[in-house]
Amino acid sequence: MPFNSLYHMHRNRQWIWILALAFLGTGCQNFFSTTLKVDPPDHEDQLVLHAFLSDTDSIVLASVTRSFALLEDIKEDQDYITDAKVSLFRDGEKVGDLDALSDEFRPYNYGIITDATKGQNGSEFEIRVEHPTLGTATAQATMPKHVPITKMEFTKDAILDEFGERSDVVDITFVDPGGERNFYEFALVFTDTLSSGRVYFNQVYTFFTDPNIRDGVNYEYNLLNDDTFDGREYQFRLSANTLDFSEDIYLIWRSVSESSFLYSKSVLNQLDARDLGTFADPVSVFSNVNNGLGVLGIKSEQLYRLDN
Amino acid sequence: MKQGVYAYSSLLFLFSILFLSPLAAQQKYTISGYIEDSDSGEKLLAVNVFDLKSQAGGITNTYGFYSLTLPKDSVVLSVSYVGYQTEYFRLYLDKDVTLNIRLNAAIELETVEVVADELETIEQRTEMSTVDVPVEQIKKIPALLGEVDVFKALQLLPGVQSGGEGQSGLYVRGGSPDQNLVLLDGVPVYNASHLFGFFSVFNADAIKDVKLTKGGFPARYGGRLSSVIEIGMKEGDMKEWHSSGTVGIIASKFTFEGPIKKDKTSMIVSARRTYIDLLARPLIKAGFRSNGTEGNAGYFFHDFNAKVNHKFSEKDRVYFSVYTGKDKFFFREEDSEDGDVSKADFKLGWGNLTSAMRWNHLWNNKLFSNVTATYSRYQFDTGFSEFDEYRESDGVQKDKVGLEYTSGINDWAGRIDFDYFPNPNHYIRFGANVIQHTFKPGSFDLEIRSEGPSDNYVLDTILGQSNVNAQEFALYVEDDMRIGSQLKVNAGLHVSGFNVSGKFYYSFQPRLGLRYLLPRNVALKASFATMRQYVQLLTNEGVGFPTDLWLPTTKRVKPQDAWQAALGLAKTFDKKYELSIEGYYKKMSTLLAYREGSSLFELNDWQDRVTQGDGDAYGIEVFLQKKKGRFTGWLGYTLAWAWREFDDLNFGKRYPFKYDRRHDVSIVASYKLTERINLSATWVYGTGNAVTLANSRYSGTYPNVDLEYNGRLSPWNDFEAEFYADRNNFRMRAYHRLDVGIEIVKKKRNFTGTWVFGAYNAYNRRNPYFITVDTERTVRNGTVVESERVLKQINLFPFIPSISYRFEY
Repeated sequence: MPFNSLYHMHRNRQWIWILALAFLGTGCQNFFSTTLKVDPPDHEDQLVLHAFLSDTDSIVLASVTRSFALLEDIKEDQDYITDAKVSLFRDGEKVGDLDALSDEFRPYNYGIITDATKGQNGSEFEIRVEHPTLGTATAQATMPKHVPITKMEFTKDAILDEFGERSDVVDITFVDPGGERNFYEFALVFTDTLSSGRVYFNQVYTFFTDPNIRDGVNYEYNLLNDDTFDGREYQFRLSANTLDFSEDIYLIWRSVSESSFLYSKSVLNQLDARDLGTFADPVSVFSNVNNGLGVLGIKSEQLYRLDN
Repeated sequence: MKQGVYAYSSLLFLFSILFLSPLAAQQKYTISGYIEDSDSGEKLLAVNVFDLKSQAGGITNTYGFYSLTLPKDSVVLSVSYVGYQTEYFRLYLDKDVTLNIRLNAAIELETVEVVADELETIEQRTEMSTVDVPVEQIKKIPALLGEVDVFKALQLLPGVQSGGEGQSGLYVRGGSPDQNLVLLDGVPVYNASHLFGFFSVFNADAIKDVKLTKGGFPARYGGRLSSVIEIGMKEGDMKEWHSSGTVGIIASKFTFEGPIKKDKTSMIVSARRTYIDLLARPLIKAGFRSNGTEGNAGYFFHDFNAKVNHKFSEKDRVYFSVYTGKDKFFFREEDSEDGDVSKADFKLGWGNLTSAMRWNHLWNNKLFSNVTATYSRYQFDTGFSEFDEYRESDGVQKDKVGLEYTSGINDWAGRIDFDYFPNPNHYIRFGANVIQHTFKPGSFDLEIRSEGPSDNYVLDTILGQSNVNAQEFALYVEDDMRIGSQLKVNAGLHVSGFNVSGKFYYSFQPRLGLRYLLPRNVALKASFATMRQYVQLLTNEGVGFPTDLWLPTTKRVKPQDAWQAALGLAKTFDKKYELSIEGYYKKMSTLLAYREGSSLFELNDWQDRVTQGDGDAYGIEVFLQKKKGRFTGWLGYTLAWAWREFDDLNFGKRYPFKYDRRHDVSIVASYKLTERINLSATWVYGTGNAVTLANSRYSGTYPNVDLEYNGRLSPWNDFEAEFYADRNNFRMRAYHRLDVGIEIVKKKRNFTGTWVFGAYNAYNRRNPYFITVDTERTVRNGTVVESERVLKQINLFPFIPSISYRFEY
C-alpha cells in the first residue's frame, strides 16, 4: 500500500516537525528575486519613414531610419539611413528625389524644396523609400481641403474654474463637410518677437471640456474629429486663465489627414501608457507605411487672429 | 423591436407549456416541510426528496423548503443529501402533510456510498454549467500561506480561470471579473478581494455553501454577463453553543455560534484579521528611530461576519446577516528638531459592508416566499497629508497640504421571490427586485492651508465628479418542468430596466435549459441565455486594483449585453463518478475598456476615458468529479478561446483577451488516510497569459517639429517609439503548480484540534507573474564595459510552506 509509510508516520511527531521546518527553510530562499530570460517577440528589420507635409510650406522633410528588435541596443544615430533613394510623388507623378541632409537637420535626414505641395488641397501624395537591403517602403496620404472657421468669439472672465478662478473663453464655430471623415488640429498661440525681429508662436495653455477634443502630441495641438457631428455646424469652447492681448493671439487651425490624426493620437497614447506602467495597457503607434513603419501625414493650415 | 418579438415568443412558449400541461384527474395531496441538519438545525438546500413508488421528486430550495404534490396513494419517500444518511418515510397520502425532516450526518464513509443511491445525479438535473462546491471540500484544498480561499477553490473548476499568480479574481468563460455577480447571502459584494487580489474576502469558517453558475442562467439570475456566485453564510447552530478557530501564518480567525433560544433563534459571529502589522510594529518603529524620526507603517485586513436566524413559527422565519471587511495600509512619520515639526501621513484603504434582512413566509404548502432588504457599500479611499510647523523671526508658520481621493458604490435593494410547487412536474419561481445605486466615480478633496507671518492662504476644494444615482429593476418568471420521463425543461424570462439621469434602458432576456435523457442514462443538455449588465468595473486588463471604479450605464455608455449557448453530455458512473462535457459559445457586446493611453489617474470625466467594443468566447469543458468515499476530488480540463474587438483599440483589429487560455487543467484530490490523517493535493496547468510586448523599436518623430530660438531644429523632436504587431501578441510561459497538504486531526472530548501543513508550489516552479525589459550591465573596475537588453520574467511565489492550527469545541 503506497501510503503505508505515511500511515505510520503520524505516530512519530518528530517527522512532522522536521518536515515543517524543512518547508520553512526552503521556502525562504530567493523568495521574490528569481528571474528568467525568455525569447523576445518576432521582429523584422524595416524601413521607418516620418514625413509631415503642409499646404503652406515649400520644404518637404523626411526622416528615414530603420527599426530594431526589442532587445537590440540603439546607439546614437545608428538608426539613420543614408543610402536610400527617397522620392516624392503627387497624384502618381514624380515630383523629385529628396536629398540627403546633414546632421543639423535631425530628426530629418532627407529633404527637398518644392512648390509641389503648396495649395494642392485634394491631391494625393506619396513618398517612396528604396533601400538596397531593406526593400521599398511607401506611404500615401491626401492633402485635406480647408475647412474655414465661421465664427470666433472671445469673452472675458466668462466662467469660474475648479479653483474658483475666473477664466476667459473662446468659442469657435465651423461647418464640417458632410459625407466624409474629417480630422482637425488646432492651437491657440500668441506671438513672441525676438530682438532679432524673428517672430515665434508660443502656445497659450487652454482647457476644454468638450468630449470630442483630445490632447495632441506634447499637449501642443489639440485633436478633433467629426465622428459625432459629420456634416453639421459645430461649436467648441476653449478656456484660458487670462488671455493677454498685448501680443497678437491667433488660432492655428488645420485640417489634417487621417494618418496624421491617428499618428498624433497614438503617439500621445503610447507615451502616456508607458508612463503609467502596469496601470495601462501598451499602445502601438499608428503607421501608414507599406512594408515599413512610420507615417506620412499632411496638414492644410489656416491662421485666424483673435479679436479682443 | 426585435428584442420585443423575441421576448413575446418566449413568454408564449413558457405559458403554453404551463397551461397545456396535463391536468391531473386524480385527487392529489401535498407533502411539504423543511429539511435540516439534525445536529445544528441548519437548513439544507438542494436535498433530493423522491417518491420511490411514483418516481416523482423534487429538491429543497435555498431555505430548505420542499413541496411535493402526489396522487392519493401510499408513498415511499427517500430524502438524500451528500454527506448525510438517507432517510425513508412510508405513509399513505390521503391529506396534505407537513413533514419536517432532520438528516443525520453520515458517520462511516462507506455508509455514505451505500445510501447515496437516491441522490439527485447530474443527469437528472436540468441545469448545466453549474457547480456546487461544499465548503468542507474547499477547506481541504491546500491554500497559499494556509489561508483557505473560496475563490481560489472556484478557480480550480473548468471554465474558471485565475488572473495571475496568487490572484483571487475569476475569469469565467472569457468574461472579466466584474461580469461575475458575487452574492453573499443575496447581497452583491463589489470588491471581493483583500491584499490587491491575493485573498478573497470570504472567511470559509463563516460560509455554509458556495454555488457557481457560469452559463445556462435560469431567469431568476440577472445583472451580470458571465457568472453568478452565490455564497451562503452559516445560520448558527440551533441546538448548542460551540466555537472554532484557526491560527495561521498571516491571519487568525475565530467563529462562535449557538442558540440564543434553542430551536428558535440562533446566531453566528466570525472574525478574521491579519497580524503582520502587529508583529512587525516594533521593527518598523525601530527603523524610523534609526533614521531620527518617529513613525509607523503597516498593512492589515480584517473581516467580520454575523448572522441571526429566528423562527417565529413553522411559517415565518427571519434572518439578519451582516458582513464588513477592510484593507488598510498606512504610513506615518514625524520629525521634530529645535521646535520645528514636520509630519507626513499616507493611508490607503478599501472595504465592503453588506447587510441583509430576510423574511421567509410559507403561504401554503405549495407557495413559499422570501422578502429581502439589503444594503451594500464598497468604498476606496486614499490620501496623504504633510504638515510643517516652523518658527520664523516674527512668529510660527504652519503649512498643511492634504489630498484625499475617494470612490465607491452604495446599493439599497429590495427583492421578493416566490417558489411555487403546483405538482411534481413543475417548479415555478417568480419575483422582482429593485436596486437604488449610488455611484461615486472618484473625487479629490484638496486642502492647502498656510497660517503664519510669511504666508496666509486657504484652499479647500473638491475636484472630480459628482455622485450618480440610478435605479435598477428586474422581474422574472421561470418553470423547471418535467415533460415525460426523458425531457426536462427550464424556461423563463428575465426583464430588467435601468434608469439613470433621465435615460431608461430595458431588456427582455429569454432563458432556456433542456435535458433529454438518452439511452444508458446519458443526459443531453442544452441551454441558451441572454444577459444584460448595467454596472461595470472600469479597470485595465492587468492587475486589478482597489482603485478600479464601479460605474453605471449612462446616456453615453451603453449597457453590456451577452448571449450564451451551451450543449453538453452528463453521466454518472458507478454511482461515484460524475462526468460532464460541455461546449459553449458566448457573444458579448458593448464591453467597456479604457481608451488607449487612459487610466483612472485622470481628472476628466470617466466617460471620456472609456470605449466600448465586442468580445466572444468559446470552448469545451470536461469535468470528472468524485464526491464520495475516502478518495474525493475532480479533474477539470478546458479548451477555450476568448477574443476582444474594439474600434478604438488595437486599430480596430480583433485581438486575444489577456486571459485567453487555450488549455487549462486542474486536478484536485483528497484522500482520507485514517480518521486522523487527511492528504490533499492540487495540480494546475494553464497556457501562459497573453501580454503585449513590442516587436520593434524605432525613432519616432513628433509631427510638429519645433525650431529653437537659434533657428535650428530642436533635438527633442524624436522619441523612442514601439511597434506592437498586435495587442496581447506574446505568450508568457505556461503556468503549472502543485500544492500539497496534510491534515492531522486530534480529537478529545468536546475538542478537536487539527494541524494543517501545506506547501504551495511544491516543486518550486518559476511561474511568470509579468515580463519586463531590463538592461544587464557588465562592470569592470567600476566601468560599464558591456550592456545587454534582456527580457526578464518576474516570478512571484516559489515553494511556500505553511502551517496552521484549527480547533473546534
